[in-house]
Amino acid sequence: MWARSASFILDKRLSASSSSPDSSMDANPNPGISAYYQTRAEHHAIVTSDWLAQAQAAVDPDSALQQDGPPACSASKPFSVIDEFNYWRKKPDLAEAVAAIMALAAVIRSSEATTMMELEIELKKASDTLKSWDTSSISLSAGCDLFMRYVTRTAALEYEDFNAAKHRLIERGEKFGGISMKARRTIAMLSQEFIFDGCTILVHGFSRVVLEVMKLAASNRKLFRVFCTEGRPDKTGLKLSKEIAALGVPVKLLIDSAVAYAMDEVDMVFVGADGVVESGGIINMMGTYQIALVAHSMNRPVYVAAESYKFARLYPLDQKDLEPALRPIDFGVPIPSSIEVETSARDYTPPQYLTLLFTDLGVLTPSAVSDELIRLYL
Amino acid sequence: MAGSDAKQGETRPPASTRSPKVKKPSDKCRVDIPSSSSIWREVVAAKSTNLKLANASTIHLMGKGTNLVSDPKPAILIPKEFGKPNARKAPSSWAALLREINAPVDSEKKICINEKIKHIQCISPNEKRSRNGRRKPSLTSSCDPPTHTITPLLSPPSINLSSIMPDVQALVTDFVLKLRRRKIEGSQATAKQTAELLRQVVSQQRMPYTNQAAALIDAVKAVGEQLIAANPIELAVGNIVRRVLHIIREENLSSTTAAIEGLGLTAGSDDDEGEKEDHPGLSAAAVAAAARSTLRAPSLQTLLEDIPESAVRPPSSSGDSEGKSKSADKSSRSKKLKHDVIEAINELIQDIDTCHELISEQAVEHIHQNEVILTLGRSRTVKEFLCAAKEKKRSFRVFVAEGGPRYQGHVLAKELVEQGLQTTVITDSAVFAMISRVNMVIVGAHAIMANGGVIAPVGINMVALAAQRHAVPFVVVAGSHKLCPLYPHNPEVLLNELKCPSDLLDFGEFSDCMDFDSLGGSLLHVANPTFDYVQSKLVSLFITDT
Repeated sequence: MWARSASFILDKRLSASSSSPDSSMDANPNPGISAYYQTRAEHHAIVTSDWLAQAQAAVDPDSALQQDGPPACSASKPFSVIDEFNYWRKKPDLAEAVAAIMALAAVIRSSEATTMMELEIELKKASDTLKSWDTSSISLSAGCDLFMRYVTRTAALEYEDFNAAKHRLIERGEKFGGISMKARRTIAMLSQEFIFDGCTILVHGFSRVVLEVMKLAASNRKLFRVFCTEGRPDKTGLKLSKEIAALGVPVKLLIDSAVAYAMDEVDMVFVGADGVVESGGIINMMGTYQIALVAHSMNRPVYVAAESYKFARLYPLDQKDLEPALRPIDFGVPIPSSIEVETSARDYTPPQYLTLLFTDLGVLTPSAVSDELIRLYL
Repeated sequence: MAGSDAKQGETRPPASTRSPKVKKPSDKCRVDIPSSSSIWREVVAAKSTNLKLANASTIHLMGKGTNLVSDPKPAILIPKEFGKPNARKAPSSWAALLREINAPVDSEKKICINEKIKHIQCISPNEKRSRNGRRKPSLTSSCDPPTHTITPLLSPPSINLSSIMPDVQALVTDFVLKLRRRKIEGSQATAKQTAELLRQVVSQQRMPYTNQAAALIDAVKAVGEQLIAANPIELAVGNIVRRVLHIIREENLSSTTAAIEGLGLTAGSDDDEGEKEDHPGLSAAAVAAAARSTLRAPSLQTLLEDIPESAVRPPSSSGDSEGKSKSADKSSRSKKLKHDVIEAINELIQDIDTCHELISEQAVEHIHQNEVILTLGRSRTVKEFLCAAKEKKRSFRVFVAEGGPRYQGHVLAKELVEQGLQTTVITDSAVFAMISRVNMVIVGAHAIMANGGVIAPVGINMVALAAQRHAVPFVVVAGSHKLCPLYPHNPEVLLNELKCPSDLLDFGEFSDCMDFDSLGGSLLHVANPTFDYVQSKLVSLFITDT
């Protein structure tokens, strides 16, 4: 009686065939845990404002070259795009898509292709490898697709010299980190007028973009307070509340179940996004859908702050339509093995519960997301 | 400063008439002026280079609290609120204002802070996706500190005051006064007059040899700000200003891409190698494409792109490089740009005029035989919409809600009857009772905001809610000059005006209630708001002329 949806059966089938067909050495070592959320957890564990500042300085391409650079510079070790990617994604301030694009730029640099077509084929192979290594990360595949489209389009413009084109691609790829930071600042600027004096904001999940928004609002001397959900099991809410308290903004921590209780005091909800799908909905940390439902039923606006490279060509129809991204939950007490635990780390919020998306392309309604995607891909 | 003695001599006589709170201009020279008051440096510079500041422009320069109007001499008085450094106000609210006009810091605005802050809150950089491809403000350039406009004292500053030609300034002042006194009725008339005024500004603008588009843009921006400040509720003014700016940029771009392609052919033969090194293998096509992308809105396609510095230089310095080769072309090119812009503005004016026809053409598709239509008040667009359907031999009935307190619904009912339509007049209060018998609601709007919300005459929100309750389609008809790219923050307060209470209560009857009570205020208040805000989720369909 609980085997209702077809995707449930699919899940069962997938878990039954436990031996993953991916036998290459690049396979994700632990398929039970989504690599994306693993990295996020590592980021959260160590992130503080000082660390963020240091990491930001480290992202600077000039200083990055001075430090011990990314692996695979030496000719002896065969170039592995996965290693490259892992190196970049460990930096806590770097977005996932940025790491992917840096890795692809490095592929171009180390490639020995002599024509654009050859280069594109190599890139495609590398991008497919990256995507298959971590199937659960949306911004990774979105970033890869974006870079591939850019390469294809640049190839279409007449460049007199292949090397010049290659040089340009590498340069743009490496500048993407800067673009990502600029995107965050743009989003922070755009959202300023929506935060009025005396408002109460509910935040969920540790989003670096939302943190940037709060920082800018605090530095503009806006008077507001923040309700922060606890964010089990990652404790993201605790980290975020520490950060926001450091800005001098009054913070109140809520357990996840207290959201509806506190919702009538709240003026708006601010969340980030792991990915923005074609319907205009978002994929974000588990609990976002719940909060959006409560906010919608109480007529509160839900604002999403997401960079534009997170737009993905996915169209999930229900919660199970996504690639499973699992996070083990530590309950503190041993659970008998016969009890199943829902370990999914994220959920999908349909577009009708979202009010506006703040992106670096401007403030969009959820229905405008598919317009943007169409413009890029068609 | 060298000119300070002369200044003191000029401005001393009015000092005695000024209020004691206002600082003397001579004090200004010694005060350490914070960076946000760059306007004072420029004004001082202007005086030292003997530019005449027309009285009208200084009036707009100051906010409340100055008595410049009565002062015939172009003396500069500091408003009372000046004196505290305004740096605290600098970033956020001005950032929004900057983005609205897409200019580097406009120093005029800094002075008139207090009354303008309320209006600033309603302006946001959110741009609606319009099929016209209207220009979106460039978000990155706008928030820089006001270092752009600090010009050296020696050169005549290229500030807004001097970029408006004096003979046009009279027209502008005239129009501003009309806007401020709300003499112009209706957004279409306002939009048309704004466009005509801007056409005058463009045609009378004296163009420098290089960078002509920038001169035009500065002039239009300067005028535009004055107009928008005069009547912030009339959003059509801002829309037209933005469209004219977009026209200028587009015409400039199309003329320079032609020039670049011409340049690309001659680049090989050009002995001047300076530019060639900066284009590492970029063909003319690539440069033109890059230049074109500056005009387009930011999108996922342009996310990774970065326009190389050299590509940006040729459009602006095309004057220089052409000067080396073809100097006779310069004057003809400048005339051509102006000519193109004026032609495009003429087209815009024509569009504004014919918006009703284009909208009415679609009437037949929406109004079917034997339907019952409900409307409130009187909107010209709705009237022409209904009449067009009638002419195409549709027979339908119309319920007209009278639309207090001006009861324009009565006028509309008369006009519809003249066309031969079966009309019923109802009170506003009866709308909910009659809505279940209605097939469709058609209303006009004052402005359509970027999120799809509608600013409409008062009472229409009520009709929208009733229509939603009974699942009746709610259709809004509006010309494209009413489409506003701003996001409405707190529209009931900021985008609304209270009109005269005499519409509601006659002066004689209630004058005893209006008396002051023991506490000092009157017990009876009358509120007569002009506009209503309708949420986007209540509107089923927008019909415009694009």
